[in-house]
Amino acid sequence: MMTRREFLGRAALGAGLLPAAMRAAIDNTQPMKITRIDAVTFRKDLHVGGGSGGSDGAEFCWVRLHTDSGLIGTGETYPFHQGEVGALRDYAPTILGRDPRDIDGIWRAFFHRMAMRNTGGADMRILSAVNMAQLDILGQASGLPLYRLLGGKTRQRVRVYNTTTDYWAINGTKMGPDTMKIVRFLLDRGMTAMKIYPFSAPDHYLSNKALETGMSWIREIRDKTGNEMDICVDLWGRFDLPSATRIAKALEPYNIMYLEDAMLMSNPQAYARLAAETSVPICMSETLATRYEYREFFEGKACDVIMYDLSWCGGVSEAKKISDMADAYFIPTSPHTCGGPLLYICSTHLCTALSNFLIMESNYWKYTHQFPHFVSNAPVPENGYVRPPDLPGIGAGIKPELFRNGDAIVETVAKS
Amino acid sequence: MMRRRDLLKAAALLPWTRQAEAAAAAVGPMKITKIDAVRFRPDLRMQGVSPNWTWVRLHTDTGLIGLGESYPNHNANLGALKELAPMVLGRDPTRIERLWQDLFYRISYQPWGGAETRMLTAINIAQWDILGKASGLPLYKLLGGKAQEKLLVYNTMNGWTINGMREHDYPEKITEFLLGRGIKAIKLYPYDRGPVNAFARHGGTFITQAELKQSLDPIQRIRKAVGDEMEIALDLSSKWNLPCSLQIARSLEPYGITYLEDPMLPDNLDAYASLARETSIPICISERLATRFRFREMLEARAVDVVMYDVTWCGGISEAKKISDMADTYKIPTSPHTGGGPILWLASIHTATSLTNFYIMESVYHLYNDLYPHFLRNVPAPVDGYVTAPEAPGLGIEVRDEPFRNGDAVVETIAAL
Repeated sequence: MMTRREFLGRAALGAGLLPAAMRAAIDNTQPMKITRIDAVTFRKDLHVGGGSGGSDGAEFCWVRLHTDSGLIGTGETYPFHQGEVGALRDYAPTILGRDPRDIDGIWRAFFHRMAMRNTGGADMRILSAVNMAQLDILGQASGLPLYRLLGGKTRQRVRVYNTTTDYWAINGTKMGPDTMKIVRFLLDRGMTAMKIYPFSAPDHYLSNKALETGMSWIREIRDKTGNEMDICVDLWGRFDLPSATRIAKALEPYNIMYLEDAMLMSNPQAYARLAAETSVPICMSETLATRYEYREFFEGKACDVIMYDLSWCGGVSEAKKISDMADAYFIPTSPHTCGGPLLYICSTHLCTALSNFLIMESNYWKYTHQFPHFVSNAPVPENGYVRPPDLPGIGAGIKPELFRNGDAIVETVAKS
Repeated sequence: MMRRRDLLKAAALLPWTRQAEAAAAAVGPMKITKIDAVRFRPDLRMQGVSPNWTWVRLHTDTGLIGLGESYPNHNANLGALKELAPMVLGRDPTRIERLWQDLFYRISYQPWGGAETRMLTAINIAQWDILGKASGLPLYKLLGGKAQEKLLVYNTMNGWTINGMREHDYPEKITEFLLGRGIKAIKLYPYDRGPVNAFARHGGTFITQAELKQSLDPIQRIRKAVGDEMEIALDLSSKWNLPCSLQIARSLEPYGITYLEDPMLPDNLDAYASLARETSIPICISERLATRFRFREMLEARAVDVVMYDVTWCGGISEAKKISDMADTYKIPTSPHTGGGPILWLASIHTATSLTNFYIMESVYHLYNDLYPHFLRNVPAPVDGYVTAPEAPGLGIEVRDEPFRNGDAVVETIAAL
């Protein structure tokens, strides 16, 4: 007879398949029940400090699932707390009293309830947070780090790029005036990829002048450091098809890693036209949720790289399903992580396990200043790579003092 | 110089977007100064049913107040309204397109939909109400005028009752009651309600031959009682997979069904296209979809025959009109969903009155007869199976004071200048 440890070890190693690894963990844990649901938000005047930073506080909120086993799982989403916490109250009856190990069952019940009135928004974000908390519980109950439940170590370390914006800046620097300072700062730390936002326009059409201004950033990086730095360009879904096409065409000579969110994600055919028109890889999008929405873009030949935010897209289990589907098209994954610390750590777990991984987002301001205020184990990139914590569940090391010093505001939303 | 009245009259000849612009130009600039949410006591019951909607009130510096609505009465909706409020306060409510676009782009940084889209929708309806009141025109005139003199309605049963009768227990009596009032169309739910309820038995994954046959019972009884006097539509509540949907559709083919609504979730339109190819029954989807973007996919996929939307979910009146106009280019008509609150009922009547591609509209006897009159003084009720838009400016509703005096209505100011 196998011991529990042996069984789990074998299940995690032997099964490259998600259901097998997760199923084995479920089968080796005791039945339990969700007995209490908390919303955790953070005080509005929280000032994390340390360099420039957008909100300077917490734009995320946490969901805590308490169980009769004593285990507590924590999930996360952002950025509109009031809608998210409201949705948590609305959906609490769907969750309370259920076994948190019923990952797909709870997801399905949740999704079908919200599908009555168009899916997405606050409802989808809170489903994502609940799903993350469930997997945290499953990991703790089985004694396995999250990446083990998701298929184990496909890679030893996860390559990251730095998202570079004015409000999450590196020591107050700005792209444009300080482009080369920023590039050198990153390269000196072994960070060989960055995402930038060179193009902006008051409406959805980009003038030739604005196009040239944006291109000057990229030319400067290429002129001064050759191909040392990989560059991703994000357009925040702000452009129309002709502008998106002009930008892509202009970028073609510069070996761009990908062009992200050129237009709103509301038309896969428009994306298919863009992708057919340009050699620049097209990436989309953390603004999509569920495998159902991504499927259309795969079938429509509308993208080359997928991005999702696992605290928005339906959760960790949904993100894994989306990536597995993408793999059938030889499309790799590049997760969005510019939210809270649990998003960042969960994404590191998932990227460790994915068979079709490209590169993950990271942000210097967040992992240097913001995340350490809330958790102990947010990985700091070493030579441009991160590793997940080798602790059961998410293993974030949530700081207990947050709950003592008034930073965290805990509201019990439902209780059995 | 044209007087305001002449300008508005001249505007009535323009296409609908230009009419709205002309009305906005005629009324001059204004500002949204306060945003209220109006909800109703959770324990309030009218014949066992609670008012399950939220109203959004936009106050302006002109004194005009616009009313919008969405549902259900969810905490998430209220939370989303609080988050959107700073983007709405101080804006000119007559700049309907601009505000819609700004809000939609903002909520599109995350996967859009859900609570934020419902509140965007309620805000849009309140804006139209203000524009109508400011210009002195009923909403349907701003949307293009009377394309329909009156609107054909069917009665939806679902969980609602007529004088205590449920659809599966008394199909003949309900039919007699409706025909007696001139209502010649009904929508039924035999697959997830009633004695068979095949959905409850298999969770939408399978349906047996016996259940397929037994589920036809209310349809056969209505046909037996009144022949083809009654039009019958069926709703499957998006609970089924493709093979079950196909079997259900085929079993219904001999019965002259008006349409089969929402057999599956609408997130794979190729699956709908397969279904539509395989059955002669017209397929209708779906109040679960929002914005012209989602409906565009549905139309291009050649997946359905009838468009259904919910004006308080789909992005609002602006969006509903755009969806219908786009559907019109495919010769596809519109059948609005109205099983929510009273403003949904009124906003749908105005919108549908302006549509050239109107089909048939939902109505719920229990709602317009028993529930809405507690909240509005002038609820349009179908006459001889048709309902007509009111002529008063904006939505044209008269809200009762009583709920605001007796504590039934709970007003919360979300934001104010």
